Amino acid sequence: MWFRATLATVVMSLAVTPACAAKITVSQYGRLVATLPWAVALQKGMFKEAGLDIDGITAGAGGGTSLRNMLAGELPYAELATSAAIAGSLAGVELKALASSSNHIGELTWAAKPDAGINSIKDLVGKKVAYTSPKSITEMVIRTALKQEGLAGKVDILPLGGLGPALTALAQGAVAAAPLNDPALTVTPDKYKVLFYGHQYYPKFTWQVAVTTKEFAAKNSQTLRKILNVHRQAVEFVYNNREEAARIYAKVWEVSLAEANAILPKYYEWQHWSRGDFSKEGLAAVTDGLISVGELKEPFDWDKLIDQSLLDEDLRRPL
Amino acid sequence: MIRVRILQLGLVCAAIVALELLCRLGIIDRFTMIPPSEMTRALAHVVATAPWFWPDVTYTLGNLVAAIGLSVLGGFLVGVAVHAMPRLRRVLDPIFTSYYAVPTFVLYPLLIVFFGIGPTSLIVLGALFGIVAMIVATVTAIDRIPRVLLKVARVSRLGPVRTALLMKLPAASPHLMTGLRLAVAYSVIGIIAGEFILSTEGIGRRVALAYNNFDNQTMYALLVLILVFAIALNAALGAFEQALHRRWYRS
Repeated sequence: MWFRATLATVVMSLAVTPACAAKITVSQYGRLVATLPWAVALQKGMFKEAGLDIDGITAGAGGGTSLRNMLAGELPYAELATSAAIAGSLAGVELKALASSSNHIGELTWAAKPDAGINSIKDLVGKKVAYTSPKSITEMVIRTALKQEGLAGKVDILPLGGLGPALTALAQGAVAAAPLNDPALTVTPDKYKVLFYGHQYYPKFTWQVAVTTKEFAAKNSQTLRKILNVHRQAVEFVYNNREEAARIYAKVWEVSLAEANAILPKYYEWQHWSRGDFSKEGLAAVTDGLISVGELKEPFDWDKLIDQSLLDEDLRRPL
Repeated sequence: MIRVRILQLGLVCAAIVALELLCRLGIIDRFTMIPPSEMTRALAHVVATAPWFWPDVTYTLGNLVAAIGLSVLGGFLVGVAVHAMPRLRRVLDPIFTSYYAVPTFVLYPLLIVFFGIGPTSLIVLGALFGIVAMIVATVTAIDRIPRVLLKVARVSRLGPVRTALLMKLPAASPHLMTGLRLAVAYSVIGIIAGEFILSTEGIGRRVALAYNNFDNQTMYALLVLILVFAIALNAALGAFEQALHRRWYRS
């Protein structure tokens, strides 16, 4: 009887013992092309090779959610929007930004319906234009674009909660233009008329950074260094193995290989994926954007947030 | 009864005090939750100073009233119709029983496609949440009308309209009130959660924005507002329902 009771207890304990492997949080993983290196890292077993017990990625829906996911997770490392990292830092969360994952805003564009008679940003005067959420990258870009074109105050911009809702509103005719990204941008070119790209107004934009908590960084520098090295290794793989990278993109993003090969080339031209190095110009653009949306009243002191000490020396930049 | 109420109040107060202590002692960190006393102060500050507060409250309340109206009236009419058609009732009964096991929010994107991003899709979502509770309560209420009342109506030669207004409705009112209470509660959930998921205005949207921007003061202030509103509304309806039950069963 005692033997059976003990055996049952052991079996039940094993059954409820949680998996030891951890997950990191990557905002918009599997949705934005910037997260491709992480897909490569998982598919090629790079975490295991580096001795890291990481078996998956938690895809955050956005900066705020991703940061909260990170803080609640077992391994407080996340890639998320720089604006979310700043907002969290200003809210009192003790964060460190260790690396940049991208200094180029990528394919973000604003598009109209092809039969709407709208051919450029100037045709949006007096019309409604969508962006995702207040203080988001899309709000920063649309405000800057309108300002630089001398259209500030002449276009009604609306936050519609996300890229999907914005495109739904565009399809229903509720707005004249909405933000658009891949894969829809490349895979369905006949459905949309591209009006302008975000990178026309922000050639450099450090929009996604890797963050951790100060407490974790103080006690786990080796683990963090390994994760940053895995990311760098994965980025190098993406740049040097285009075909394999396309195959991994197709698999994880659930598109055909032909679509992946149509989507990816422009990102190589833009050098979209950062090996970890920050861009001074990109950070200045983020500050400028956050001031334009009212999140900041003055330029942000990056020394309060950024810590490049865990990056390889060749990636450290004067900021 | 009074003793039970005192115990209930004591339990709630004890929970609030415990939460306050856990927050003040740092056991629950500030990024996760602020102390209840700060939530209340934050609410007062938001009410007094936030320019968006009253427009968003008006938007949410307007949607709520419309959703409640639609779910209560629609649920009542459908319930009467279902009760009058026993075969239809037998077909629909399993659907009503399992309706609340379905996450109705999955329909929200579809509603947006049909009705656009705006109050209409939110009102329909809120109404969809509450309508079945009212349908089921209506059917049950009509079932429970004592047959003797219908005989009295026939004997008194009351027409169908007077029978309905003077006999059936008063007899059914306690159970209808239960359905109303549930429909109201579900509609509140539907509207607030719908605004949280996707809206351009409203208190639910403000909670979502505050959550994403790590503005815990505003977020918890609004959560307290929603909580107090829901409790007060439910308590008022509950008191009215009990009064109706007492009146009916006494008579």
